[in-house]
Amino acid sequence: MRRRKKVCVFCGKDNIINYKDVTKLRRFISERGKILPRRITGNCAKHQRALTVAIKRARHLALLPYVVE
Amino acid sequence: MNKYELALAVSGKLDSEAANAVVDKAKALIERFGGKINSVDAWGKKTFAYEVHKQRDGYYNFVKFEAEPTAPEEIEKRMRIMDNVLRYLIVSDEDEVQVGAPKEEQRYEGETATAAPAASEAPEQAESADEPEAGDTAEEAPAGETEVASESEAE
Repeated sequence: MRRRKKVCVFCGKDNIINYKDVTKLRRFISERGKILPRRITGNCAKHQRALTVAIKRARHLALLPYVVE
Repeated sequence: MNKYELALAVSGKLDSEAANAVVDKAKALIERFGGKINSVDAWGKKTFAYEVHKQRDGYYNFVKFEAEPTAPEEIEKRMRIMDNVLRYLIVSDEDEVQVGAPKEEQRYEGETATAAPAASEAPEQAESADEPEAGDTAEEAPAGETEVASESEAE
């Protein structure tokens, strides 16, 4: 069966990606703390790029982990 | 004048008064370089996601301010050597709001425009097709997450 095409979450109504919004960012990192790729999240390139920057900022501020061991 | 946001993590070893003093020092620093403080958002003590300088928690503060483009560099230079500041970050406050925003407005305008003159059928269909899909992705995302996690573990 062909998988349903995923739609970018941020292209809907909540299009604000902020490094302070940890609960929202947590949905896009794996259990190990890695950023999930686009093919899994289904985000569009534009928003995935913004998301990556936001996650990296949050990591620097110790709001998100670099790695979960 | 550009809009900026300063994020500041102050050492959790201090009590809240001493932490506030550090934040006030940072605010004075902003004002020294011609900045105008718009708002301060204090999160209070929060546990770090990882240890920073052997410490597990700190006080988070977010200061929104307006300043000349040369100011953030100068402020960062001095923030770097400030005591009890574990983490700092100055980012432009505008880019977060911009992402994807103008495109969305256009689309919604288009939808309402077609809805008004045409029969109610077409826009309704479009909406019903849109909404369940959005719901699906929200449910699907965590499922995909666990799948891949287990795959990578196997490797």
